[in-house]
Amino acid sequence: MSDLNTLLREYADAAPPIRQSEIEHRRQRRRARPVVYAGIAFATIVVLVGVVALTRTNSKNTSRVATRSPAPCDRAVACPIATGQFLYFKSDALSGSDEMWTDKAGAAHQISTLVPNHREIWIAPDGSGRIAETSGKPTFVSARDKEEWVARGSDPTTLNVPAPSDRRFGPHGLGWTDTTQLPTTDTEALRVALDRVDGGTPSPGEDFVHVGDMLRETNASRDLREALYRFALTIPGVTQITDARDHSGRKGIGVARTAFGFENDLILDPNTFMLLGEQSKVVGPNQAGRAVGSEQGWTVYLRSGIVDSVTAVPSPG
Amino acid sequence: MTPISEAFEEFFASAEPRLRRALVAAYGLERGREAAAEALAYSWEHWSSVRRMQNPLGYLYRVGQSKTRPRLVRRLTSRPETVEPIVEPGFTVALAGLSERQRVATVLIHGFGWTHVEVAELIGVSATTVQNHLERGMSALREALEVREDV
Repeated sequence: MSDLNTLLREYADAAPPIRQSEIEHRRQRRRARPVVYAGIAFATIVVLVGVVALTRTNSKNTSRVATRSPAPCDRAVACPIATGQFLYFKSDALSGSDEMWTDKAGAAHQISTLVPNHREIWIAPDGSGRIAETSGKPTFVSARDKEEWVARGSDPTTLNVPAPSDRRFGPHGLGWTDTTQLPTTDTEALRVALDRVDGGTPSPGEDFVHVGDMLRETNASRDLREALYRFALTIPGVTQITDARDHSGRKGIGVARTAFGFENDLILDPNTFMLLGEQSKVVGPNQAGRAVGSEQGWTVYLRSGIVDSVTAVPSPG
Repeated sequence: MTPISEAFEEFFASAEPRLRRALVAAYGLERGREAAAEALAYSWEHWSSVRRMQNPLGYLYRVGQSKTRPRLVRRLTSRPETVEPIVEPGFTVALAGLSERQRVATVLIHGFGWTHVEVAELIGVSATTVQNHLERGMSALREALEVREDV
């Protein structure tokens, strides 16, 4: 691991440091263009004012339609989200967290903990929104992680609860995933599209991850969610769980993939194909040294919908 | 030339390496460094508001992204445009195969010891999502480099 860490460090440090004098030059260069920018800004404002005036009535109508929908994310097509509206998701999780440290001899060590987490996210198609999270007390994943923590010179009793966070984001602050162009009838076309949208090296493991990414906190339509489920079943090594339960005990249908001694499950509502939960556990020998049967994390998705502000939440059900 | 304030100098000394490494991880050596320089220039121009921000690094990271975005038109995911043979060639090819967020998470956490929360605040996602990107990134790198002992 230390060799790989060194390569990662060397790669990012291969770019020469940026000097303060360099940014001063950029600042002076930019100052030569304020008139052009002011002109563009003025023209943009004029156009925007015109567009807003022309579309105000239309926007209001769109907004009413979207708000009236009782379960918008269960629609066959992706939910329409008007300007000023947000997708909302609430979830509870036990999340894995790894911390790296290097000893005096230069050897890299990893300390893994599990942290209870409550999360609410509001996200608009322009990437603006809010994430509010609270966490509980972390626990070490294994005795080995606790030993690493002590070896680093830290007191085990100082494994503190992460501070609550409530962050708001402007446009492009959050990563909005556009699911509207993903095919829902052709499995191979869906696989290719997922590779393109979500990135990564094509492989069965990556395909399974793509399925989770598109189901988790996105505006995927019911048709797409069902297509993702069907696609998951075609991935080599993925098995179906007919009587699955999420961590809160809700029944569903699931898909599971086992690799390197870990099983990862995605559990969906059998009618709406909404993601109910996901969980990871150790099912066999693994080089991380985790005990077979031990829990590696879970998430349950509790509520979702479309709301009109980053302080609103959809009604239950 | 306007003298650079002490407060900005202090901010610059701390933010420059972090921003440069993050954006180089995201966009490669040339574009990443250029984006970081543009973001830092922005921070100097808007220092009065940047200095009051709760998460200036995250904000400047997005400024850097927006400065380099015009070159990403029609790309659904961003990858370094060229493979730069600065370090072991196989490694740069493997790194280029990761998604932008996977690269940022792996480089900053494994290369520089950032915490998940620090990376989460930088790129505007949850720590859980960072962990997902990290695991996927490291798995892909290990597979590409055949680092079996770390699986």
